[in-house]
Amino acid sequence: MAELLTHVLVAYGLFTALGWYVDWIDERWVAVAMVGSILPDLSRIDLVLSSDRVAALLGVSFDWGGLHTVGGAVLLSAIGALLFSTARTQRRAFLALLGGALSHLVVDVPQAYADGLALTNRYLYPLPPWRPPTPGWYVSADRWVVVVAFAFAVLVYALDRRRR
Amino acid sequence: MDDRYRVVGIVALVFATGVLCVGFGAADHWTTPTPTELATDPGAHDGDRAMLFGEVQGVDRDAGTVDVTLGTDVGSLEIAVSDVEPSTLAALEPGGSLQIYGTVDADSTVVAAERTVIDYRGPADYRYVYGTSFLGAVLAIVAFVRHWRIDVRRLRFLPRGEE
Repeated sequence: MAELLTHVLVAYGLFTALGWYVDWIDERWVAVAMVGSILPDLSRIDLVLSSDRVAALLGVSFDWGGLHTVGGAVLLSAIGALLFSTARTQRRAFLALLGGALSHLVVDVPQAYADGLALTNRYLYPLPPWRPPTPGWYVSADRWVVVVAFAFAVLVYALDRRRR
Repeated sequence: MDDRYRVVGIVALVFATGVLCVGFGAADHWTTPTPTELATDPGAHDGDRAMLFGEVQGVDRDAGTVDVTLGTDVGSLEIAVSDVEPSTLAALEPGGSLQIYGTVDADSTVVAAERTVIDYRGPADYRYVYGTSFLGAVLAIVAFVRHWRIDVRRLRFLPRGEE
């Protein structure tokens, strides 16, 4: 998992650029997509209330990692969408949140893994655990990743200002 | 939409999300032996290849080994990782996090590394990742509340400047 600043900056850039082509995506929905990009890392609740403790409490297996998956992205985006009041804002919120959350998962795919395969066996859940080779571009603690994300966000911001 | 329907929907989806995490916890994501399998049946994996994520406890640069603990469903499991590259040994500190792909020995106490990837060299890398992540979360939340108002009483977000 890249750090969250990278994910939020990437979601900002992607959704701002998408807004050039999709009418309804304005700054408000870009902000919603930025929130969407942090949803998969709600799995880090684990640091406060560990999966093992929840499993012990419930008496069944449990893993917060389920939030950092395609299925988790869909459900969390749907919960977020229901916090909006009209059918139209709910639909748009769902798409913006899901877009942000999926961009997070996609950015996480090309990370380095010792067996040379992507961690999509986890990310794709509940879809089948398919593992293609990973290009192994980075690990979370690589400092250059956020520099690239920041440059991308600044570039999109500048282009966006020029279009107005 | 009626607020009551929204609340019922939210409760149902939170429940479904819990079920997803239960299913995810029970699912077998790996074709290689998991730490739990190594811990519960240590003699059954001699020569198996495993992909493991370990927390670094100690580094022995002379012996070329790293002691790591693995999280399992039955407590933590300590193993030694042998055949670790000198550059990896030089970079790692206790408290770091190491991925190991290698061969398990007869009693699942040593894994001979074929390849390793350092996720976190030590506590400083964790501080960096948590620090930048905190900034990211703040950035997203600030952007959001600039455009949306929280109506706590009716549990909903409303666009600013449209009421």
